[in-house]
Amino acid sequence: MIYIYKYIVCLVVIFLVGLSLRTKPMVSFIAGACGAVGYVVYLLCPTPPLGFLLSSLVLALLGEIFARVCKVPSSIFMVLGIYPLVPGIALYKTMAHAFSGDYSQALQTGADALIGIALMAVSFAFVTVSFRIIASHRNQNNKKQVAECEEQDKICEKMI
Amino acid sequence: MENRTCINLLLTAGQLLLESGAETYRAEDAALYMFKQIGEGDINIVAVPTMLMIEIITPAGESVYGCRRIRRRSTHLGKLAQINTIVRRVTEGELIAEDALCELQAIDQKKESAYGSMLATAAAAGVFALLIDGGVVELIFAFSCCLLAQIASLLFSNVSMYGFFSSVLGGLVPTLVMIPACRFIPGLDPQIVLLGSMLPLFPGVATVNAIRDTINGDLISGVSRAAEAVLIALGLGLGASLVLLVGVV
Repeated sequence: MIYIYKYIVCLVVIFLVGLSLRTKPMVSFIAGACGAVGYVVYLLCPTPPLGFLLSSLVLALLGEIFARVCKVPSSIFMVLGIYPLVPGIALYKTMAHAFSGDYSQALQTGADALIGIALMAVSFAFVTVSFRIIASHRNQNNKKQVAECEEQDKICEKMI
Repeated sequence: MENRTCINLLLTAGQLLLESGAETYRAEDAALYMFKQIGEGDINIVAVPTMLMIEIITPAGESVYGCRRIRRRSTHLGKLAQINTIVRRVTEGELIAEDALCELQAIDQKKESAYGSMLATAAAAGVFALLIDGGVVELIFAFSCCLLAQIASLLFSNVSMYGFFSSVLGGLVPTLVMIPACRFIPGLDPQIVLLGSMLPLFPGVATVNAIRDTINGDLISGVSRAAEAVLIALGLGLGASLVLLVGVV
């Protein structure tokens, strides 16, 4: 039950952030629906690092799929989706601890922040690269088919 | 002449993309794909977050060169999507270069009022306070703190250090509001309100993009984006601790 509540609240947050960055309402609603899935995955994971890794994997996958469906850049979905996960909070806390003179706490939060952000970036990069590889394979196959067709045409012409 | 129009189109599209917060590889790819459709010869494109350079080498061996300085960087996803559509249409051969250039300039010059976007940002900050276990009181405070911070940062909107000042104010204004508010309203959790009202400013996107760029091999843009993210976090931390540092409390 609590997860359904979080899902809906998270959807609203992403929808509003989307509007504030001037995305079309429909696109930001879809981004909200995708991003909220990522947030719930994060909540379900036992440790934060695993949560960052898996949730951004889910986010990136959904983002790439819906970017192709809606014909908008995939980064719109990723940018909006990572807002509620706020990897930046840890970075801000690091600075706030450092300013208040608590250096050991600052180092610890800083390390946590770096690991979380690096894990997210790795899963984003992984998904983006795999989609690119799939796309380039498809292009090559298309080119091959076109080339084969042309060859057949030439053969036909010769026969005539 | 033909090459001049072509390079102008590529530069304008790339510049607008970078200004609306696209990754550098997206700007490079957009220029490359459009060139494959409308130009002939060879092309070199270099995009970093503050600059875009393009050189076209024509089949005759002449080289046409162009470069744009990118001064203002913001996240404007609506523009990003519109430019992407134009680039897609040019790539598919539906749009000729001159028309595409006109449409891009129209997008660039379109003025949008900042108020709607400010309200939506503040509303997002308020609802985010709910998401991190706040109640209705926290929602109201996060909403108003975020709105106040944005209004305050409008003062600096024409300064080149706008990004830094808006993050300092984004940390400072909520802290200034919350210190007296906590004395009068006992059940209020200041931490939730602070985190909620800073939601739009956290450099999460910048950091993730920085590491993605670095993994991608775009070392310069990766490092400069990381510097930007650290600067924003520094501003927020400084703003939030300024009150404590000065010792007003």
